Amino acid sequence: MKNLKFPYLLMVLIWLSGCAALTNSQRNTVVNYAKLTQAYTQYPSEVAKEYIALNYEIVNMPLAYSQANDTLVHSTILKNLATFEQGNQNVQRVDDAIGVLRQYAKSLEALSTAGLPDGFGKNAELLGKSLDNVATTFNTTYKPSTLLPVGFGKLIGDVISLVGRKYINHKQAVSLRRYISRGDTLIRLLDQDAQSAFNTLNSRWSLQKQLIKAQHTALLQKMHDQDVAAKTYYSYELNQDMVDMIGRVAAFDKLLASTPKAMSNVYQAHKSVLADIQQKRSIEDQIADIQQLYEDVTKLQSEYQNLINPSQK
Amino acid sequence: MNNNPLALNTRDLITSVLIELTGIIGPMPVADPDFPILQAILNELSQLNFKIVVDDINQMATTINQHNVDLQNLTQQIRGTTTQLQNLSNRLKQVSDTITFLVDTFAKGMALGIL
Repeated sequence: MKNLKFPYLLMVLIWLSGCAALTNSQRNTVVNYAKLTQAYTQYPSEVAKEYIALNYEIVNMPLAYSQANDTLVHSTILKNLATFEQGNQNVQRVDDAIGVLRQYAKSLEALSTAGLPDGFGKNAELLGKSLDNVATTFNTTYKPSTLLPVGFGKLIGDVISLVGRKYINHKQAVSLRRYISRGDTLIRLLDQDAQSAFNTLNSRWSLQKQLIKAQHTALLQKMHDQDVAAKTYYSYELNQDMVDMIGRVAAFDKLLASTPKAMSNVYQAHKSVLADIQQKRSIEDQIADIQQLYEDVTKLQSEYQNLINPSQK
Repeated sequence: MNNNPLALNTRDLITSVLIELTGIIGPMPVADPDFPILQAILNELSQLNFKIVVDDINQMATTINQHNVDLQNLTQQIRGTTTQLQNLSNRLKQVSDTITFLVDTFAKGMALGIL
């Protein structure tokens, strides 16, 4: 048993927990980024959906105040409905396009989760307990002159658990660094694409807002020649609709302004995450990690010493 | 009808709303005898614009999608690595399980005096 070389074990552990491993803080940064990005990805398609819905109402507004038996009105309503449905299919395309970013964020979250080696740790502990049971059973059953040492099982289980967990953390950190580094270029390009798409949408939306004014003006003109009762009734209805429309337009303006801005932040945050995980860990982090490693190894060594020199217990 | 106080009150209300709206959406319209033509033109313009709106969303999806193939490939690689890590963890667990089973069997064998 004295051949069990703790210095070698220590070197392996230092290598495994060295510069490649991520600190808890770095891992949390990646997880938080991944969760926030997933939350963001629902908004671009919401913008597209509301854009289509608002425009559908804009084009239908004059039709609502037209004669119901007008066949031209009827065919126009059907045509608008068909265009609206086509628009909603395109909204789905927007969602699919931005959905890739959602999948990327989900994958990052899965890759950075600390839960990967958990089940393994429990089994290593069970293994240790079983080994100890064997030694106890052997000593009780055969009552040999030299008793088998009890407690080695736990030591072996702890070593397997520690080395396995460190190894997986090491692989995890190497993968995260590689993928986030490659993802950064793509997120930058995706941000550029999204900004370009939102700019086009913004310009068109300004024109649509002018159209709302024109529609309202035209409809009020239409009511001008009607008798007072009809004019009063329809004007009231129209203005109610306009008040509702203005409220939605104001809300949509905010959404349209903040969505591309948030996309920029998705990219900026990705850059920060990349910088954070590429950064050499701070002295405090390294000391904390080494301290943890020291405690783990010291505990193992102490258990080993107790085993080979039971009298010192 | 004009002498109906309720109608007059309603008209005052509408007028006040229109004045409010004028501040928000611009000057009030003036009566135009050629209105039906103007209305027809506006309707056409609306429909035309609505089609453009739908095309915009389509274009938006195409633009956003431009670099998604690369991102999709990267996502698949990340998923692959996550699976590999999970498999690695599972393999280590299996090894541990097997050893646990053997040790348990050995212990039971000894306890029963078979070994």
